[in-house]
Parts: sequence; C-alpha cells; structure tokens
Amino acid sequence: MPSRAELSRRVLEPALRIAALAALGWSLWRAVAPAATAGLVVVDGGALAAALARWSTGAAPESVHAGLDALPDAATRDWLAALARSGTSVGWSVGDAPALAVSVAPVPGPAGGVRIAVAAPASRLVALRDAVGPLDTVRAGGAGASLEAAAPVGAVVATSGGARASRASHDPGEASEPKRVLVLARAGWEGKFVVAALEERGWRVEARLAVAPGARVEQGTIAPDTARHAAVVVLDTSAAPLAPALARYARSGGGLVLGAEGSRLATLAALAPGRVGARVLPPAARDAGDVSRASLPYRPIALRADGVPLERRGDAVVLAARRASAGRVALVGLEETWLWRMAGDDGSAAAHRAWWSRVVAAVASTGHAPVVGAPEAAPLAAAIQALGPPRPAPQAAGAPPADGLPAWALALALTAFLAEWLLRRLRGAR
Amino acid sequence: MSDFVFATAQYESGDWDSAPLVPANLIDTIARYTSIPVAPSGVVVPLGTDRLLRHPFVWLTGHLPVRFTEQERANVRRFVERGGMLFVDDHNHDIDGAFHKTATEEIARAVGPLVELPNDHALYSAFFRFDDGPPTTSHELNGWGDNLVHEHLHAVLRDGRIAVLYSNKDYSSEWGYHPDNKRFMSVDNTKFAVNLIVYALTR
Repeated sequence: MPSRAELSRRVLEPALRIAALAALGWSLWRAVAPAATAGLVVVDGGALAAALARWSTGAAPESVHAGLDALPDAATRDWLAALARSGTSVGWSVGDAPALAVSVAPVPGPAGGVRIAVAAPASRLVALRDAVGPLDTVRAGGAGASLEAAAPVGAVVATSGGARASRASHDPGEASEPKRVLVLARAGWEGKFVVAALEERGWRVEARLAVAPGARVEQGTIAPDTARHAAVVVLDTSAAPLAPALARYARSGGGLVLGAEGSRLATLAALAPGRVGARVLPPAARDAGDVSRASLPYRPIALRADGVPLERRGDAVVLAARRASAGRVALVGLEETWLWRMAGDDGSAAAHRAWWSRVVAAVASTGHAPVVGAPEAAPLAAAIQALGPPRPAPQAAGAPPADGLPAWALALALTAFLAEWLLRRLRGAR
Repeated sequence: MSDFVFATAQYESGDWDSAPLVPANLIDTIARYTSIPVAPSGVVVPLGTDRLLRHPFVWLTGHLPVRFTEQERANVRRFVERGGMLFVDDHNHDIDGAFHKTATEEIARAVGPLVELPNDHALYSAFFRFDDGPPTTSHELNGWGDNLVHEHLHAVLRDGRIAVLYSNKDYSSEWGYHPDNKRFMSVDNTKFAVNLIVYALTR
C-alpha cells in the first residue's frame, strides 16, 4: 500500500512539470505570437509633425501611436483628433506631464494686479512666467498654489515637467476707471470708520449716512450701479428704501457686504449667506490697547447650504459669503469694528483697514470681461477630451515585448522544475 | 449699533468740569433733531487713560491754564491719528487769555498748529446751515460790554478732516443751561452742536 507521502509525490510531480511547461509555453507564445497591432505605426514627438503632414496628404495608417515628450499643443492635438475622426485609430502617451491648470483673475481693489492660481499634483514645482520673463516658482500644496502679482505682460505660462499651461488675463491697455465702493449706514462710528478705512486703503468711496428722517449726509452717487460700484456695504436698516435696487444690483453681478443689522432687511436676507443669531459679548477687554478683532462683540452666522464660512470665532462663523446669481454677498457678524481701530494696539488701525479692504475685495466685481482664446489653461484635460486618455505604446508586430520575457514566468518555470527534481531525488528516482 | 456717548475730557491741570450742564443740554439737542442713537447721559474721560480712545468725539473746556502731562499729550496724539475729533472751547470770553494761550500751545505740541477754519467749511452745513460761519454767542455780543466777536474757529486738519476744533467763542457758557429752558428761547442756540456731532460721526 503506497504511503501517504508517496501518493502526494505522484500528484505533485506531474503538476509541477505541467506548471513549468505551461509557464515556458506562455512565454514563448508571447514572444512569437503576431501582435494584435498589425498596421500600427508608432512615432515619437520629434517626427510627429512631419508624419501628420504626410498622413494628411497621403494614405494614413490604420493605427497610430504618438509617443510624446510633452503634452501636445492645441494645433497638434486638433490635428490628431481630425486624424482619428477620419478613421485612423489614434493613441498617445506622454512622459512626465502632470495634470496642470492655471487661471488668472484680476484682483479687485485699488492696488489692482492679478491672482494666479495653479492646480497641479501636490508637491509639484510649477514655474510661472509671462512674456517678459519669470514671475515665480511655486510648489503645489493639497489645493494647488496661488500668488498675486502686478499685471503680467501677455499670457501667464505655467510649466512643470512636460506640461505647459497658459492663460491670458485682461488687457491692461484697456484699464478703465476703477470702480467705487458705496457705503450705506446710519450716522455713527461704524459707518464713519468703515468709510475711513476703505478710503485710506485707496478705494474710492461714496456714502450715504442717515442722520434724521429725510436728512442724510451724502458723498457721491448713491444709486447702486454695477457699472459704477464694485461693491456696496450695507451696515444697517437705513438702506431699506434701496433694498430692491440693492438686490437687483447683487444679482446683476455686484458685490454686497451686509452688516448684521443690514442682513435683516427682508429683500437682502434672501441673498445673504446665512442668518445672524443673538449677540455674543466676549469677556470685556481690559482698558484700550487690548481691543482686538477677537474681542469684538459678534453675532454668529447660521449658514445657508451654499454659504461659505470665511472667518470663525471658535465654532461660530462670523464672516461668510455666497454667490447670488451673478454677484457675491458677504455677511459680517462682527459688530463695532471701529473699537478695534480706535482702541486696539499700535497696529490696529492698519489691521482694521486691511480687514475691511479684504472683505470688500472678496465680493467686489471688477467688470473685466474674460479673455476669449488662449485655451491652454488645462492642456492635459484638453488632450484627454480630444484624444481620450493616454495609454502605453502598444507592441508593434515582430517586436519583442517592451518588457522582455516576463521574469515571473521564467522564475515560475525554474522553480517548478527544481521542485520536481527534488521530489524525484527524495524518492530516489532519476 | 452702539449709541453715541457724549464724552467730556478730564485733564490734570485746570478746571475741566467748569460747564457741567453742557453735556445734558447737547444730548437733548441731538435727540431732539436727529435719529442718531445717543446715550442718555454723558461720560467723563481722563485724557491720560486709554479710555479716551473709546470715545471718538471728546469735548474739552475750562477757564484756567492748560498743561497736558506727557501721557495726556501722547494719548491726544494717538486719538487724533486714529480718527478721533477733539472739540476745545475756551470758557472765558477774552482775547489771548491764559486758557487760550496754553491750550493752543498744548494742541500744537501734541498734534500740530491750529489754522483758521474758513466760514464756508463743510462743518457749517453738516446739518443746519450757518451761512456766516460759527454762530456768535451772547457773551460775544455785548455780554461783557466789549462786543468782541471771534470771527472764526480754528482747527488742526488731518487729510482734510477736522481732528481738533478750537473755539474761543465761549460756547460752554452759551450752552450751559438745563435743556428744559429751551422752551423759553425763540431760537435754540445749541443747534450748532448738532453740526459738530454730525460732522464727527460722518467725516
């Protein structure tokens, strides 16, 4: 009666032999089998332009694969897409070309300039330049990178590896008169110092400050107008007669900044990013010198679904914004910010100015029309849209596999043969 | 929205509290003619403390010579640079008197020299219209027998804004009465104070 070990060997030895032979046979088949890529022409980036011209004027191959060093420019991309639509199967691959996109938007505000935003894989270095020369090099974080710069000359070009994205901004030659900020409030310290802060930061400010029924102090043109006003600040309910006009202004693209009391006007409440709650008085600051933005009274904001929090005080949102049709609306939950300017530390006046300027700039409209053209803001996305996703270059007929005979198959065959030989040696067979 | 609080400056030299009825009278005037939320009583603010900075409009008066301490001078400078407005009124009806001499000197040392304010300045149309400039007081008009009328107020300006307003027309005497007595007057002589407050709150 054969032993259990003997029975095992009688099963294992043939199995190992079959496995070894199968691995060898599969490797051999891969080496000699005709490629399912008959008719494929593989061309590298340097020869692509000439090849495209040749194929466009003569017979085009059944299948083309372009192996590129960098993402194709718009002309090459469109040419390949046209070739594909004419019946040729077009594939492409590219070396180091990360997904890259760039946007350029004017910065609203008296200082002007542009904000350049770059989307790239995290930790990727992206070089930025304009027609004059380098602007900066940034490293992409989890959400890309951004910087502000004076008005660039020509298009802004971002490069990283083989990817190159470009975006034109507005033409500085067509700079129009800077827009104004309109402040609507009751006569009081908050309205006075908001006007002062914005003027001191260079904004052109128009204002209407209500003093008594029928009596107002006015400076400039009061009717909100998207052609004239980049933003309107509504601090309190004294703006009630203008509420419908303000709503139209915001929906037409204007920027609206609502104070806590101003957000209670029904027409404007519908546009606000949230609703303010009961007033919160932080622990009283010591005598002046300690009044900071953090110690100001505030009304926490309960956000709407599409409200975006911009500033918090612990868990409470004290500044928020949302888009309202073509415009933007911000809601300020902080109150008596004038105290911060007057009774804060030595830098408080400047900080107060900067803060209010930022709040207004967050919603201000610039009135610059987007530049049409320069569709290279996201070249990888554009290439994928036109040509499909990149894929590895397929193997042409008669060529050895790009990766050679699979090492794992050979290792499997060798191991199987070795194991079978050992088993045979153990039972004494040769 | 915080109320407007009428603040009286307290300084170490002189008699800062020489006109105790003025605050209540002017609070009444502001409430009477405007819709500005105003606190029903005023406060006294020491010039030498940071409390000064919490009241962007401060009224200062007196009969006696004024000499600021270093701290008071520094505070007044900070107050003005941050946007505050100081109204100084000589409670004497004289010319080149001790209060006038010393107060103008101290103002110049703290924030700069006073300049004559033109009588068509925006202050005079900030609420009520005063086409002839600052209204004269009864003390100027033969109140002491000298018909000495001061034609102009003086100011220290910051970027076109009045930072310090100086008067030697003795509004402290003119306004120093109980507000109930307005009913006996054919013309309310405190109306100019409304212009002062409205100007301070809107410029």
